[in-house]
Amino acid sequence: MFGLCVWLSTAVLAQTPAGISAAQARHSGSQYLSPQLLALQNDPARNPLSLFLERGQSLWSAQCSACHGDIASLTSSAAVFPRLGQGGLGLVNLEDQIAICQKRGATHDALGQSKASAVQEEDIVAISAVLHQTAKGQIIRTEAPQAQADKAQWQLHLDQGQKLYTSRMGRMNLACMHCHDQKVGAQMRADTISQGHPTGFPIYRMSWQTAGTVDRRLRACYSGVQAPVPTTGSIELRQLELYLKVRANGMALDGPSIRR
Amino acid sequence: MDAAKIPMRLSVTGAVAAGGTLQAVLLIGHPMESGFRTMDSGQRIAKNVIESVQVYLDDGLLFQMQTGIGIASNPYVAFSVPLPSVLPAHAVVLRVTWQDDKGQRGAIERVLR
Repeated sequence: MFGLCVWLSTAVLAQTPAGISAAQARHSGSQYLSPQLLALQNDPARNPLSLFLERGQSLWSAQCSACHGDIASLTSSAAVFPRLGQGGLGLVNLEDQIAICQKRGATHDALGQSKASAVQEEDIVAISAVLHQTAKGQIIRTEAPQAQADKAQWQLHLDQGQKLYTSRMGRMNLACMHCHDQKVGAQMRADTISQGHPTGFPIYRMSWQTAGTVDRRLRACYSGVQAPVPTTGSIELRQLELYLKVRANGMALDGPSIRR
Repeated sequence: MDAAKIPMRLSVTGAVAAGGTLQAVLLIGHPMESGFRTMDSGQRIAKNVIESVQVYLDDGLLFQMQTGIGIASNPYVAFSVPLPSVLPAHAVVLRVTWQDDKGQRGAIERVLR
């Protein structure tokens, strides 16, 4: 048993970038849920995410399946984003990619002028939810691109993300790591601080009364430490998401989850 | 949001037997916008709530709910379905309909077997 633990922690060390305390085993955010919320998450009849999944499924059939085929064939996409977009798009996450696809689609010329514009945000979250549901159990593997120039750019984004993760900000003067590395398991009001691994997104957050993406969750973090909240789709949110995804490399995706 | 886009889910558990009771769970993917919230820009988000939900067993009204801004988004309703003491020859149908303040409506039904 002890041998297994040592093996696991070396495996974690090998996959996490430098500067992360990899001493502790990594846990999905669902492990910090109350029993009531866990029961809600595990019951499809009551779980509000099933509504988003149904909607996402019908949107997929109507808008995406013509090019991408059956959703079951896209098991890997949720595990590899964010990545560098084609044609100098910079860093795009899965929801950006869905927005780009919608913009490209002939029937959606009028939509999607900006990344994840508010009008269609719910549609994008719903499609993202079915993609994450399909990818449930897949191992997160956010890797550097092959081309040398892209690789350097990707590394730059990752470094910037790590810098954001470890920089103090806001009136609270806290960095992400002060809670999500150093105070894991402690209580923050009635909530238990998680390790901040993005394995269960998109999340249905009870306080939002709706489903949201990593982008929205991170903006809520900025607001939580009373820092200026970046706008949806800002590069710093993407860099932070990239860093979190790389930090969670090797962990399994949980599929869309309930959060408090 | 269009009514066509609002998903509904009705699940029923229990054995169908004369005089028995089933448990039903209803989920409606409605935003239930109270009209008090504002966007980041400061603009008020228009009120849009379900005003009434009806539950029918075959053609008979089982109950009706008057809902309003006190109900959170994606309403979740759990209720018991009492079955008649003599079951009709055909399969009994449980049907739910709702209307909101914008005149949108939706319906879902389950054949109880």
